[in-house]
Amino acid sequence: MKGKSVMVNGRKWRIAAAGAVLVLVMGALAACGGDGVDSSSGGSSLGQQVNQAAGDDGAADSGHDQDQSTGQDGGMNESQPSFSNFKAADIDGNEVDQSIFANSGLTMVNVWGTFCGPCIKEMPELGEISKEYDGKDFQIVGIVVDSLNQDMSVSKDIVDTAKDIIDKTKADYLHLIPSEDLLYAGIGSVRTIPFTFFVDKNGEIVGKTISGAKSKSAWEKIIKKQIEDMK
Amino acid sequence: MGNVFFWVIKRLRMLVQICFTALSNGYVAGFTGADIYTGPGKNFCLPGLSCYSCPGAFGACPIGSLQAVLGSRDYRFSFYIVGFLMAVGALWGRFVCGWLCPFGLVQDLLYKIPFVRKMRLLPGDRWLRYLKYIILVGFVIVLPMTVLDIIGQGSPWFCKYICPSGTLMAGIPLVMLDENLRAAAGWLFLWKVAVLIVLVLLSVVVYRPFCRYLCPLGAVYGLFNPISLYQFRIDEQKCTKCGACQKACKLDIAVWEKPNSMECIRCGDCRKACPHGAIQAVPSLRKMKKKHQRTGLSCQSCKKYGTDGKGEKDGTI
Repeated sequence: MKGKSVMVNGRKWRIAAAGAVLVLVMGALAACGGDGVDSSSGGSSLGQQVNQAAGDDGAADSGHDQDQSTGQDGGMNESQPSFSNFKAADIDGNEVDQSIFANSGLTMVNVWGTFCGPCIKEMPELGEISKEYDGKDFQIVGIVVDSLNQDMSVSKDIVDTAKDIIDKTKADYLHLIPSEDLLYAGIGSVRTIPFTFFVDKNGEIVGKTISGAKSKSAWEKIIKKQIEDMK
Repeated sequence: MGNVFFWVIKRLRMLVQICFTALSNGYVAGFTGADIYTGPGKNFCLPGLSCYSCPGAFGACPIGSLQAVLGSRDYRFSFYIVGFLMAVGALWGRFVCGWLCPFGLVQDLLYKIPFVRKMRLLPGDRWLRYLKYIILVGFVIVLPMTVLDIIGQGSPWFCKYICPSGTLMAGIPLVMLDENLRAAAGWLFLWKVAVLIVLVLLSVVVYRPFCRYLCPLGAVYGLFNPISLYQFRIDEQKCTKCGACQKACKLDIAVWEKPNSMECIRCGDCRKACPHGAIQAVPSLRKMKKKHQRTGLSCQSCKKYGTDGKGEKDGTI
């Protein structure tokens, strides 16, 4: 009888101990859940914006009618930064705004970083494509995503490295440093690079976004199709 | 109450493994937000093979960090990471492998799956053991430093082509959670998943195949095993060379001969199996025994610890 009660007690204690450990572990997980999150402040998800634009059969100007379920006032309010309404600087320090897109019926925006091998690897070919389409209503613009320090100041070292890369890859089209406006417009939520998307002359996002590097022939196909779709 | 204590002690290693992994890789918001933690904790290396890019990871992988530094164009050597590896190695050696590595835990759990023909070794074990040193020198050190891109940056070859821990804990979760990554995943991702699947299947048949044959971090810590602060000692007076320790050892180490082999992950199964209690982990709490051994005299009350040659094993003089 005594042995039996000891056994039953032991089992209860084991279950209690396991339960306590579980509670502790879950407590630790929950407590750590909210710390140190590096979330893109306020920018609506670029991926979402583009998916919604593309979801309307690629018709560019119906972007305005999209119901943005991000819960933000995003695309329609003209005072919010977007690719139609921003200020930024290029890597030479010159100020630019949305008028850089007005030059061209279609602009391909390529988000890259100086630490990113695949980004650098595709840049020589992007440079070639850019030259081939010179004067043909298509341009490429690069955004050097790691050129900002944590405190939003510009990192001279990274900019120098970027210029070195541009020199060596001959991808000498316009390259921008992300400004607060651009981060808000969607660059801040880009998680993987190289990340490429297209905008029309008004800075409205059109077509698909592309994650990852591609070969020159793959890019040429994509660009041709995008130009076709916009006609 | 005592039963709980013994229940915990009996499974202490697995409980420590589970708790440490839950804490070191417990950033739940990373999984729910399809993102990784980028706070200050990431400046610190975790001791085991835990990928920096795991959504749940609070710290960095030392092997990944080492490749990043060696591959960068600004730095050629990392005092911080090498210092970390030397410090952890010197203190604990491959104790980290047995108690603190998340991928070690995964392999331990996989080995528990029943299988009709478990193997003690893979064929070619003697040579395969050296493969991890080749991977350490080749994929972690030399290739990142020598195969450079147009501006002199190298790639993390081990992370990129081999590491199954990264695939399991970072690659697969992120590809599942992020549609952009899903779109970008190609042949390389397929290769990494294949490597992972092969190792997962092998882990059911053989104990810890990755740790024994491939892990560069285990290779580094293993170099320190013979000299680390945490050591196994064989009490020569108690050891009868019965071989029970080697039989119990899932890595087939002749513990009675080589208690601090570079392969040993300090799981402690040998110590539990020894019928004479001849294997001791030091530094230990059993100070009494050491004191007696040092004096060289036979203690009146516990004669069996004397080393003057007169004392016999059963305690009579």
